[in-house]
Amino acid sequence: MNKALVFVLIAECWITIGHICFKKSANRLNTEQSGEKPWLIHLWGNIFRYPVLWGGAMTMLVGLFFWFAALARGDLSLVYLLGSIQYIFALLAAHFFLQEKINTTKLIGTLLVTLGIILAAAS
Amino acid sequence: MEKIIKIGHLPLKILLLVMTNDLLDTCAQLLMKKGVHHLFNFAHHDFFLFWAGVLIYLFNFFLWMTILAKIDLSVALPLAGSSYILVPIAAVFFLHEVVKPLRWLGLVLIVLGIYFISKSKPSPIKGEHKRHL
Repeated sequence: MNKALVFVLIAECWITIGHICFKKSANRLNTEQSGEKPWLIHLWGNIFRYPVLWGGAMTMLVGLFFWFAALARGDLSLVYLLGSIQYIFALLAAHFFLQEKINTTKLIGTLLVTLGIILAAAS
Repeated sequence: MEKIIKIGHLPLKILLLVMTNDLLDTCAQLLMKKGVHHLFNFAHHDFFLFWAGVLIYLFNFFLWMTILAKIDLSVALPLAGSSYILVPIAAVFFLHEVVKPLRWLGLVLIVLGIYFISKSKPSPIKGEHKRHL
């Protein structure tokens, strides 16, 4: 259980960095998209132009390997719930790196989700 | 002009994308868990299950990118949290794991949290305009 938790924490750190990179790339792709071209076609057409996107994919991949390590050491229903720590990481990271606002509703919701998952994991 | 159906502050299309993302993530997690002990064992049938899970996980990346292009990361992530309910249910049915009552109680809190977050207004990023689906 403890080893699974450590691996989940490491995995979620990497995965959060990946999420930030993806969001930055998605924002940039969004501003550059013109006309009525469908989003996914636009993404495929420009996927090699964004180092941040690839950086995100790499960090996600690293996180995924730590996730495999965690999966191998605990029940899926437990390991998956422990992964909720990413809500705290993502909220802070999105606030500091993407300037996303943390309003009261978002904060209450995120805290409830996290509390619920901690409670479930503690069972 | 196309009418955009919204649930709370989010367009229905976004919610459908998030739900698809959650279902695929649940499938991927189940398959990866099933085969994680046979990661490099070509002879075992769980090997194929594991890599099928990885493929689904990678496919989900494109779906996730589409979602991120439309809404805030801090809104998208908790919305995707419904897979926290789907995964334990799937784990009980398909992997025969035991989920205790306290864990189910936690899941109720998660649903409540997701409701609050879906009520949260999206914040525009400086200098950028969000497109609608």
